[in-house]
Amino acid sequence: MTGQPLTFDATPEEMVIFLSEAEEQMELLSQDLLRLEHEGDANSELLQEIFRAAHTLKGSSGAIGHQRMARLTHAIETVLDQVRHHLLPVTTQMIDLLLQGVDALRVLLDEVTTLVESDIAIDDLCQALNALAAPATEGAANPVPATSPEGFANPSRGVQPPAAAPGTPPVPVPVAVPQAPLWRVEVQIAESCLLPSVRALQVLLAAANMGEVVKSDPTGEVVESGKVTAGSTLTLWLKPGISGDIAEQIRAAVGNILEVTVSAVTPEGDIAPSAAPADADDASGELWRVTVAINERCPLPAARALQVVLACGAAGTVRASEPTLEAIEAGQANACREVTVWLARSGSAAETLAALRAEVERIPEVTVTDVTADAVDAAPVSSPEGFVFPSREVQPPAGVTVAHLAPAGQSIPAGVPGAHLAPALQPVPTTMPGAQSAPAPSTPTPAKAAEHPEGGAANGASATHAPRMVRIDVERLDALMNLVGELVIDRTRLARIANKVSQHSGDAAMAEELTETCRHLARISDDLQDEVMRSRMLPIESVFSKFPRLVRDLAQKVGKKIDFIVEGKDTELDRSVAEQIGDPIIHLLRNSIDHGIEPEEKRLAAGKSETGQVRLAARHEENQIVIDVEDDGRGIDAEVIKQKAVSKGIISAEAAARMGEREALDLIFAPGFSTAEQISDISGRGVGMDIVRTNVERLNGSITVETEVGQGTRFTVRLPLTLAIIRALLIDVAGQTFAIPLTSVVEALRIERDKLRSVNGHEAIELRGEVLPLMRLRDIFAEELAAGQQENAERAQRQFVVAVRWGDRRGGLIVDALIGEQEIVIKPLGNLFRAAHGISGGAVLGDGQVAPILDIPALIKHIISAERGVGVAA
Amino acid sequence: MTQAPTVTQTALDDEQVVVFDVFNEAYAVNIARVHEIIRLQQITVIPGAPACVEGVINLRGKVIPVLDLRKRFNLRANEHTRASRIVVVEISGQTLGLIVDGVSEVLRVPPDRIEPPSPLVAGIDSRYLRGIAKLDDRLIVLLDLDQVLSPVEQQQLEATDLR
Repeated sequence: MTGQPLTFDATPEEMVIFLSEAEEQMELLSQDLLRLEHEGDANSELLQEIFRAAHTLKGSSGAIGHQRMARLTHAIETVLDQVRHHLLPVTTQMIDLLLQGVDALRVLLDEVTTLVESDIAIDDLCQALNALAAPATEGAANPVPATSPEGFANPSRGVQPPAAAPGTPPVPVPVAVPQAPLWRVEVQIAESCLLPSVRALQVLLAAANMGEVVKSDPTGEVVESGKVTAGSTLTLWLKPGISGDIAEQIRAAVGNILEVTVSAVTPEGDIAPSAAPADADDASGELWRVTVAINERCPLPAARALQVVLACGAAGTVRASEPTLEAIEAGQANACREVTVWLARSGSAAETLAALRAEVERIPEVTVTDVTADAVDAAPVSSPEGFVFPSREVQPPAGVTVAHLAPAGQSIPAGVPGAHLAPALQPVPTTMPGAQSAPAPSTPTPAKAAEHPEGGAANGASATHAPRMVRIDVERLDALMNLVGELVIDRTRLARIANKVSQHSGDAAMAEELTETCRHLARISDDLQDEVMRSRMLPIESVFSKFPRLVRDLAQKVGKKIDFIVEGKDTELDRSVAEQIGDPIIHLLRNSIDHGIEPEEKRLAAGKSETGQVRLAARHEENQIVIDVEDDGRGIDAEVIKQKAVSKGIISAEAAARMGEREALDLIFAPGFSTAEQISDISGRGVGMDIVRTNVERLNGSITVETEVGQGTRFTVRLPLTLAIIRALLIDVAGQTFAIPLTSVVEALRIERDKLRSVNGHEAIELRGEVLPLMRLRDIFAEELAAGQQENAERAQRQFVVAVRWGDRRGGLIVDALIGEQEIVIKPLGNLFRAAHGISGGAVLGDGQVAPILDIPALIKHIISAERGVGVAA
Repeated sequence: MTQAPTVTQTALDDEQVVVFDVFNEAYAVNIARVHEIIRLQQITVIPGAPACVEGVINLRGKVIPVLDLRKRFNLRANEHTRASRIVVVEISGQTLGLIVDGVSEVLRVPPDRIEPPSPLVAGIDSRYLRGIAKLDDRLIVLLDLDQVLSPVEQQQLEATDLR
């Protein structure tokens, strides 16, 4: 099967949503699995969440028709379901297996993009997972907790005994037990929702987590077959298994789901709604038994059977089928040659037959053999997905019970489920169009129509419940940011013009008005910039979330015990920064685990706990985001580093002897420097710290290291919050303006010429007791700048020096003039200028001119190497 | 009688070109490659850029490199004049400006008037040329834009030295 082209049953938009959601769920799944391993199965909330993630994945992969993914998620879900019900203990092997499953899911997810079947084999994995779950598998595949035996234990495997046979109560279902009142929950699925079935499924799952979903409209089956339409209403009847303020809890749990709005949560007494039986009643003579034969030579009868049931769903409402959808999807219909579907549909036999033929006979290898009107009583007892249709005979109609219960509501003591009627919680009349979501809108179930006469109007009213969140393509945000950049440039430009006008124009009032307008525009564009920046911000959690798994795997590989602490997950940063910061942090974490943390024996010998600690922390500091990667390992010995650097030929022995500790530590960032054999016994890949530094600096950030031998090491990465617009100091060199990112500027000074010292033949000044090595930008740039500019700048009595920093290194740049601070919009210069040393990009200034942005790290390196006379960086 | 039937007959295969002057010589590029023609504006020098790259300009918010064709062709560099223009073209996906001494006209060139480049014409490196168009008494050098940039790119890729 490898390399087979794949097709999926979804539009491109749905695919995009599916992809991003599936990624989210997988991320959640792997995070939660790690938590599960850590915390055990005592945390029921976690267990539910993790199960929900798996189930949502299964549902959505099924909905787009990704069979292998659905199969694997099914196996994962089965295990998780048993864990959830404490039928299986959590073991490391189990977590390993489940994580492997998630890894495989990622590969399968890629197939959605490549549309080619990957060569990953999931059979073994599924088998292993099934074997794990084997002891108690029955029914575990189903989304609703095993506490609803009537729900799934007998999902109409054969022809069921008649449901509403007079006087015959169906199966003795707990539904009928008093003190278990029903709540009716109405949920509106947003018009804009692209995967309505997935949302509906999430609603059902959320509800199932709070008790037993007795019935739903559309049914769970319809939902799982992907037939829910956007803008429709999902109604479900829930028998809560929770106590307290039930309505509130339902609202909270369901309201958490994106793109759906809870429109009503109402108690319905201890009975199921009359709707279903009424349906059946009114549908009397409209229930059709459809028999479809599958060709003997059909290689995949189960697939055809599935298509048949789904196709029937398009012609009417499927009440039941044999085999059931569940059975087909569970692979129990692999030899099936005939499918029987009980279909509710209004209209004549001829019409029904025509509709069915139209839908069903489109499917290859099948023939409709028989369509007969069936007595209502002949319909199977339970709907195929197993939600019981309670019989009208045994239970009074809903309205009666509500009327009976409602007045007593407030007086019933708290703690009794359903006691809190909370009328305030019904802002929208409970008249949502229940039939709206039925697969065939042309055949509204009569009972529903009667119950909600103004269904259409209510639907319209629900438009006010528009979703509060929208998804925006990152590209659109980028475009928005670019436009804001343009605006910022023009704002500054306009301010200059206004300035000129007020100086030259005779009309003072007019000039004043212009200036005032400019000021206002400046404020507005500032706010706009803030808002756009904020909309691009996301918590760093999106980056951090993949690290626990990474740390776990790595620790396992090197055989160390690691306690991984993550702090400041909520710290927000710009999307563009977030996208690029992951790799450098991974490098640092690897480095800490591989080289920093000592092996157990050594730790014990050093009097430390055998479990090493690695801390990853993020926080905001001024306009920067600061990320620490810290370990309590062996630390870095500057002497060892020096020796290593000498032996690698990175520095000379003399240079090493002159070097201070800080400089020595800096050597670990030098290209070609790997400390693996020197300070680590574990053979790992040499971690390229030079790459880390390069990547961080490309983002206008910096990285520093602090260490204490025997105590640990801390790497600190500082990054700007955004990459597009920054504040910069503008300076002049030989008549041209240059920009220095303000984050690199320590201070700008004007010094007398005689304060310049010469240290080892290089210019320097003393700045607060420290020697600041200097560089004349003219020496570097002037020759290429306009030749006629050789003025007297060098001979001037006063010199302007901009003290800049890179990490904890400092240097001074001698410039011709200071122009001032300005907000600049960073623009890439393109490949042609890749070799332009000392320039990191271009900035468009307020007057529309372009100014090169100085590459401070490169310039400081240049100063240092000139000073030392040894090349540090290649 | 300056009747020029081949020019007035608008055959479908005629190539439309933008003609401009560089150092008193007429050059042309296909009009489809020309985004726009703008007046000379202040050019920001980027230290360390390849020699023929004059610098960058801000083209409505986009920073684009500008090449001086005279330097490109190793001709003597004059001061730019009021007639000088920047022809904005696209070369292998990158928008860039070419500084020329002046833009004269847009012409239709019938394919049969285009001859292969000869090293004797124009005195510039023939690898930049796509052909010579002979129209009446004029010779117009058709530039091969892709060749104009690629040696530069090579040059800048080699120029990794920190100088």
